[in-house]
Amino acid sequence: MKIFDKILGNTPKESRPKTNDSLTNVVLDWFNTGNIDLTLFREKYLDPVITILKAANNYTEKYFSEFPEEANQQYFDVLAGLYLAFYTQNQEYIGRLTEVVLQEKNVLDHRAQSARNLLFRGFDWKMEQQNPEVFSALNTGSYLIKINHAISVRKNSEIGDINTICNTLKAAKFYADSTRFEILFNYVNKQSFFEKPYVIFEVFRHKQFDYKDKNVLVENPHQEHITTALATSINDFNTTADLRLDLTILLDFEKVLDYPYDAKWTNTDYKKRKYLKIKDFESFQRFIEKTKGKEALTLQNLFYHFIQSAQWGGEPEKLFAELFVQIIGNFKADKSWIEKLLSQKHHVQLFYLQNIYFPLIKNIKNELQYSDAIISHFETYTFTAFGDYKHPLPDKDSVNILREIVQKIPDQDERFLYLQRLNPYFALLRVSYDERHISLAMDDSDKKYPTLKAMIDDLNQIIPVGLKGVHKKNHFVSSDDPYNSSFFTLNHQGNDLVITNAFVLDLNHLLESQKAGYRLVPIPIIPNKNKNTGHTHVSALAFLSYNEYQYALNHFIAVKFPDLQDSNIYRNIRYDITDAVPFWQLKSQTPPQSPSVADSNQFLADINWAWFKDKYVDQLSSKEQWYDIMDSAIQCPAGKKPTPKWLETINSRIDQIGKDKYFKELQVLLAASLKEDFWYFDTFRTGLKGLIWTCTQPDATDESLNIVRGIIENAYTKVAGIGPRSSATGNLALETLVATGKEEAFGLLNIMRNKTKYNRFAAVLEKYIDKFKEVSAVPEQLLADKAIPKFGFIAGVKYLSIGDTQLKLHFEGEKLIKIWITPDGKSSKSAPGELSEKYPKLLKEATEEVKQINTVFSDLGKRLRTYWLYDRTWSGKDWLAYLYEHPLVNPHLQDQIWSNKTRGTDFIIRNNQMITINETSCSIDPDDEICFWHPVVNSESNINEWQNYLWEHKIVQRERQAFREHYPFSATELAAGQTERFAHHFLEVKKLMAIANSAGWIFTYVHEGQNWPRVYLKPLDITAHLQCDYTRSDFAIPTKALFFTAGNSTKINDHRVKPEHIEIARIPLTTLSEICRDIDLFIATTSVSNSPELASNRQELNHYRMDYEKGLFSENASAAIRKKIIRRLIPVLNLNSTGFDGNYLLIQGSLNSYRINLGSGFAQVKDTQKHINIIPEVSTIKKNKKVSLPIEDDDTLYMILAKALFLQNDASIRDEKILAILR
Amino acid sequence: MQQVIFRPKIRSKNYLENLGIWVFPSLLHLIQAFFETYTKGTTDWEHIQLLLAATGYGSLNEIPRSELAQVKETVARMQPVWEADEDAEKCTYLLLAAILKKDILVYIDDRVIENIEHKITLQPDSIVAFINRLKITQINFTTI
Repeated sequence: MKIFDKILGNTPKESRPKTNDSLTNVVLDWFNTGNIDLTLFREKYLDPVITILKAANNYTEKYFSEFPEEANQQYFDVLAGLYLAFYTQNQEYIGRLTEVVLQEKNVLDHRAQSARNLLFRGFDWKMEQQNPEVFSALNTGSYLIKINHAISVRKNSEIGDINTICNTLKAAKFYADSTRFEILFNYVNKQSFFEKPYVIFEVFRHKQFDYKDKNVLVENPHQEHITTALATSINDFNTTADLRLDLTILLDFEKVLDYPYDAKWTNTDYKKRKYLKIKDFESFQRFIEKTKGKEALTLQNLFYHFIQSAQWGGEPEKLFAELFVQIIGNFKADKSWIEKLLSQKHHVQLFYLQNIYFPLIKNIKNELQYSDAIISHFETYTFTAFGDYKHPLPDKDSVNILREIVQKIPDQDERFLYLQRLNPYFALLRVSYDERHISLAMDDSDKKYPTLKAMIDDLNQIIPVGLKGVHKKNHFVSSDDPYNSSFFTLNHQGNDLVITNAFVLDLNHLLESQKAGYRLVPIPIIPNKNKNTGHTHVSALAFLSYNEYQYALNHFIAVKFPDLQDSNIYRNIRYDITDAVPFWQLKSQTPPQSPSVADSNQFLADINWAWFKDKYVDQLSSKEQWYDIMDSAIQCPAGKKPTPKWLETINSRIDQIGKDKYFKELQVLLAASLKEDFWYFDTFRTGLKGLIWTCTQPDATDESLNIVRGIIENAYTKVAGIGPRSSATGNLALETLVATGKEEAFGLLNIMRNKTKYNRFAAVLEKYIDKFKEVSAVPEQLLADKAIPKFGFIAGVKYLSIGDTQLKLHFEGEKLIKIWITPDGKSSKSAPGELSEKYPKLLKEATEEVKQINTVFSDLGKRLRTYWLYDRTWSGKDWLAYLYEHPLVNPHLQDQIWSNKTRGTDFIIRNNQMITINETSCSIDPDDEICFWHPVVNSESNINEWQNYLWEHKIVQRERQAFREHYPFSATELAAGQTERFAHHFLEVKKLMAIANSAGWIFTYVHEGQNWPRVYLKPLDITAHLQCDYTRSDFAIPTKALFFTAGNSTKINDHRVKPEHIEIARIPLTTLSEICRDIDLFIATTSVSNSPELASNRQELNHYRMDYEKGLFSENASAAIRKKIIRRLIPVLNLNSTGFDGNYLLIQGSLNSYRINLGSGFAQVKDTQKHINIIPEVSTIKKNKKVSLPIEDDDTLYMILAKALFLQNDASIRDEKILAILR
Repeated sequence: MQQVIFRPKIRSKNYLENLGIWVFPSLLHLIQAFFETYTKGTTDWEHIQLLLAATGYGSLNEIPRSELAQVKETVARMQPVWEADEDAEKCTYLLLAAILKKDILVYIDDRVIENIEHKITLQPDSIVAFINRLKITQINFTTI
């Protein structure tokens, strides 16, 4: 029963920490030593402030009422502290006070702590405005405490740092009560600290403009005082610090810093300001002019100014970078002077490296040697100023300059070691681990992977390997288990090698297995302590021969990084061959490539494509021509459209084998290779892009469009945890498809849309369907019908030739039948044996084509349901042309029932004949209105007739019609904006999410409280919602109402926008019934309980909130267990049941036979499968409190039993509405 | 060759997990064992029902802040009573009485228990259910 403590917020009293009285001691001591009047403080400050605070804040009031003693003490301490700080401005006491407060921070409870916070935060401006005489003084006290912390304590930057002082003083400078500024400024001015000139300079240059005239500056009475203080502080600074400041330069620099008031700045759109250059500002140019010849002094002043503000304070980085570069120009600084700058304590930032150190070092690089201290300093800076997500790699220019200087090292071994130490591939080493935990420093956003490629290029000097793909980083894979996450794939001599994140180990294994005399060895650069990665070393990676390795180990690592020498990283490196030439020598020995045939063909020359050629292209019958085609394809132009010149070249190459043959071979090539992952990587992607373009330009055929479709579906295959394989390629292919403007292309888009269950792909397809629609006047769905490809079937038959054998294709039922006809006229169902020997490649092409037709054909079957969902009707003419006579659609229409709305008759298609229920054939006129028959819009007698017909003729329908579950709505329900017929079912969240999403609905983890399954029906422009009370922590969630909204409201961007419910009557009945059928499925498969009582009573109070946990629901909540239990209860409860039909309990009533679903508890009329919409009356359900059960009730079981008893006594039902459903 | 036979995994119900023995001299012993060992079920719901019944409110949200002190008092006063009501022995006898009256049916492994004095043997995959007959008759149906 601890739950009550949780609900009522009770905390046991003994656990509350005792108040520490040290702060009290400090303030009392302060009162005593200063001989300050305590009574005056009580009367004038303490009592009035407490009264005001109590009135303003419930929390404070509660504190005083519940713990009066403690609250009084705490507020006395805090207010006295503030008062004394203001009254005495005594630095020593303010320091003591801060120290005590920071010490006690962790021992105080939250109530006392919130009072203490007033010391650092002060009171809000509203209070100060209302009672200036009290709060102004206390707030000044709080500012003093903050300033003192920033100057001398510096423990918690949240309390105050140098910028806090600047901001406080700036605000006080133009504050109405000028005494505050005087107190604060004098307090700062009295102290001496490194940043003082910066602080005073900032206050000095702070301006305010007249609120009436924006061009007039407001005069400030303190300005003169500040100017004098600035000059003095600079003088003081120059006597103590390393840097030299100059008042004149700072005053000139002030004008530069005033750029935000410049007309050029204010008149430029804020987004374009980053493109402004210093030539746009007169002040910048004048400053550069003035400082000529005084570069060293100017740079010191600027540098000093910038290192104070750690985060740049919003200054435009590019503008000031340019300023630094211009000032430095060709200025040759003294080595020791640069060293002085580098040794200043400041945040290491790439900005300083790129714009100050790099240009300075570059100017004097000829005078520098690698052994100079300044270079080691510069190297450290270079390898420290990187590593965040924006700059994942060290600055290239700086590394290059280091390489230049390394070249000067006289000793050859040493020189090459240091050069390799600056290789363009870096890594992070973890000392405590072994070589498995070395991670490559890579720019993840750069899809070209320059770092990795540089490493593979070097590896290629030793053994020939092709980079086949880099695996998308799966961030959910723990980096602690590098063996389990693959990094990239190499192809070595036709074999794929998956390299894991333990790539150093893997590559060394490869080198070992190939008997190479080199190993990949990390060479440490600097130690790097990063709070995210722990203790690491930034290091280079290098391929070293045995001798190089020994030299590095003994002359470098042992000397500079002795702690690493014995680490696991180096202990595991083994060499079998010890006499290999040094790697640098091997690299320089590689002969320059002589122009050859291979060289003129990039496809053949590129080692990355070598395996592809062997594995795929060489298997094609026209492989020689394919080399040329691939050569063009991999050189296809960048951008979204091919250039005419490129098209001309590649098409002329394709023409050599002929278009038809080309597409057939391309189909074979892609069918096999798309199963692998490589196509979306780097050079392969470019090649694929070229191939896609050849499919549609200059013209497209059914086959070529289908190849594009295959690529799109492959590119949009979902990879768990990552997303589509390559949305870029997918979109390019979609773009190409749409650009053809062909109706067949549109048909393919629709087929993909009907088929896909991947919501992201569906959304993209919708976008391209819309694009297509924009240029067509025909309604979308009809256009989709029109656009279904026919694949060259004539009168339902298609012939393919393989040598002199013919393959005849036609449809029988719902199957594509293949008949092989040999030259002597014999036919057989299987391919003649000699074909595979004589024409293996042609046979493969034919098989691929048949496969393609079959895919489209089976996808078309999924369209039938959309005829109901989108409430489709056709004119007789369209129906005949696009459905009935279409060779691929027609087989799906067999045995399906259709309604001729104009004539009010129904017909079924049997053996390609339109037949009425009376077995007479019928026809339709071009103007007749035809729709797909659905039980919900037909009478019960009509349904029964069709059911009998299907029974008699033993017809099993592909899309069930006569025996379809259907969901009629009553007039009251139709007139409402929502219905609760599916309410109060608890659905298991995880299962529901899986099932709903796979049924094309959308239900995700985001936007708790506002998310539930919803589906957008585009042709009707409505969204269906199955509202649920969803929170992440729940095991099961209760359903609420079903409703519809206009437009697409599947995206929940702003949950405050509540789309209006549409009257249910406005939804077509067939659509409504099909949506209900989906929901019925969700409930039947995922329901754990049907409990109106629990569903309507989620309990919430204070911090307590009741989750719908697993333990709330019965362990017996499954259809199978219910079946077992009910079987035994039938005689005990006198149920009039004949048993079970699958997952249904059968019940015999007087009016009907019924069946009740054991998963959801929903009842149907047994014969017609009509859903009986009866819902339990919530008000009559009372929990039986007399007897408690040891295990949870299965509420759905009660619902099923109660429903069974209710329905078997249907003769005694008096409710007319229910009777109307049952009759 | 030696053959290794894997036993099929039995998915035991939570309510069976903590039972130490599988054979009970009578239904009384089984019920008492359930009350004593089965703790996985969420009892929040029942406790809240007790609290609400005692305070007369329909849900926790309806309790005004001003009355919290009073509610706390009620809880403090009623807690011993409620705890006594949760006593396994008391619950067992009350439930047994209801079973004798046939108000509650007990289903164990494909049979409805007729005689409460018979020995009961459970298996790791047994199914036990208590069906409250009164609750079935309380549910009434309506339509929209």
